[in-house]
Amino acid sequence: MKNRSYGTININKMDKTILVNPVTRIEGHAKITVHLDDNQEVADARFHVVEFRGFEKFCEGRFFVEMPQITSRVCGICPVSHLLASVKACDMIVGGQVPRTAHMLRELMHMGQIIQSHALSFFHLSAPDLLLGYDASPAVRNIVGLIQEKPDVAVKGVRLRKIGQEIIKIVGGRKIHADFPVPGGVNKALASNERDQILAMLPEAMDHVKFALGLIEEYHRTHQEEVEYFGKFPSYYVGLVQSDGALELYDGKLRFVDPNGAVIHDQVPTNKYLDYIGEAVEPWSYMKFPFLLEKGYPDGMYRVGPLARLNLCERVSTPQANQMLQQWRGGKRIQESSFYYHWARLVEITYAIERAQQLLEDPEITSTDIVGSYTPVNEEGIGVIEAPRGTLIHHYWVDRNGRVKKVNLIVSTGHNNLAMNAGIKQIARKYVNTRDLKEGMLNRLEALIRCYDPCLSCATHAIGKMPIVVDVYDRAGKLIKRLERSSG
Amino acid sequence: MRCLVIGYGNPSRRDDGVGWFVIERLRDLRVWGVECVTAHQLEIEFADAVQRYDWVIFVDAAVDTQPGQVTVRELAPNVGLHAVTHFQTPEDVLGMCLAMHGRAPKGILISIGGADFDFGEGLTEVTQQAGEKVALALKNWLQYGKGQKSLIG
Repeated sequence: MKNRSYGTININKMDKTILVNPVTRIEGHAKITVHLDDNQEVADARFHVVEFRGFEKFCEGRFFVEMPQITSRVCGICPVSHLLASVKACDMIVGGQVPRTAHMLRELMHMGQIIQSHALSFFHLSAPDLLLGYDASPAVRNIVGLIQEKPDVAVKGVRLRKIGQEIIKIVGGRKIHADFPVPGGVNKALASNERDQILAMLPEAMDHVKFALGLIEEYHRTHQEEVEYFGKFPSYYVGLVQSDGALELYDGKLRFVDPNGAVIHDQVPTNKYLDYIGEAVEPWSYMKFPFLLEKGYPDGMYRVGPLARLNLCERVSTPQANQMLQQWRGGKRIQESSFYYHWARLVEITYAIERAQQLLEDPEITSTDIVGSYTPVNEEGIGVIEAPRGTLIHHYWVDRNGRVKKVNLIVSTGHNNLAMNAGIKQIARKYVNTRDLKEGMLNRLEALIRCYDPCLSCATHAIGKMPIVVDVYDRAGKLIKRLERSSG
Repeated sequence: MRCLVIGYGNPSRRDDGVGWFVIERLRDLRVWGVECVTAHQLEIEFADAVQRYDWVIFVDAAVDTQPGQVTVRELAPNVGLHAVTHFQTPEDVLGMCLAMHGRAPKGILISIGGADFDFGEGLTEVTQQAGEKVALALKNWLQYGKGQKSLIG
């Protein structure tokens, strides 16, 4: 049996620094530092990612067809997203058209991924805060505590996630690290009985997501002030849209929206992303800081993921999700509060369920025309997908024999790096009382990070076992307080 | 009497896949009246799925016993659960099932000592022989002794 601790608070009043470690219920390890001024007020706060793996480097020299299987190992939570982004980059290298059925099957698998990942985020990671309260003990404020306190909610969450996983398994052959998509198509057709099996699950999935929508709407009604304040700040928004501006998760072109909701660039081909997005580095984090080139660093801070996608799209192409989008917007063009990420995930699950149904009802979904060319013809390939956490970019440069020369991965959590830092600074200023530091303060800092459902394994392409630390430093850079937890 | 056998581990880490091997052998042996599944790890979804059964038997590789050594123990639902979402222990699965549904099946864990957990497929001879014995013992117990005599010993 492992030793488990839920954090400690050590205060040194001679100094002026707080460390929170680890941040829990996120994928990966990180720490937060809070920096104080001479008046003991919060001057700055930073979200540090402290581990490194270097997938981009060690993929060099591999044959390009290996990339989907290698890069899907970046993450055990969203391997499907990496798999699909990677295989789309490989599609560009082989230069052929992906058969329509293969395109639909990949999208169907992606809908399963959206359902399972968003269900995990909402029910397993965030619902304990929402339903048990931020000030509940961290020993019970987790999925297990939720199971014990509200088993009916937990069962629905477990079953919704399972349906997403079953879709992935049925379509791809296994739940994690399926080898189903290949450059130019997929390697497994969908049998009619498999199609019927998935169709039969969808009504139950819809029931569960509607139940969850009731929970989040109730929370918004009863915590209006907190919800509207929580991680609210202006930013740009980036994501894929369909040709008419509708929400798109698998394909489409890039749209860039300003803090007021005005479209500044639209229908940008995904292979032009480097003309718009730059990446800065800071010495205190292994996670890069993407920004909009034309706005500079750090003014070009933007957000991706569910909140960004619902802010930048014109509509949702499925009826129930589109209706929910209007409720989510509440008459506003833009929702700035990071808290709206949770609700946005439920709108997207609804879309994923409806979209899965559309795909399954297409007569060509069971066609066996599922793979095209395999020969490398281009020396560059770019694959972009809307992963559950946001825009995911895989970019490979290969030689004429198909050997990888260079890799660039920009993952969803990376895009949100500047925004998460802006968010924790805002929350620290609101909730951190340096004279009386309490657990609830740590919880809210964590909860802000959790709005973005970050996957730090993806973001640093780092091993996924990292919790978080919050450090508080004085103006001279001396550590005065550390909140710390192990992941157990 | 409804029974589920879960063989779990990573078959790409050689002997860690012995749980999968046992499931494969049970299917080859055409053991009836039992459902068999494989998994890389025990995820929280199992806590819901096992509630339909009277018995759940977990088969896993062990790193802390001699290669080929088989240990069998009955499981009690863990009520002091922890919050890791990636994987659960068998006791966690039963404990969460109890919390969610007010009942949990009886549980047994069969651990088989492995010799080689390096990258690669296929079991070492000693672990495969132990897996074969476990499959035969399970067949006998599932078909003739389930619920009436102990699997232990």
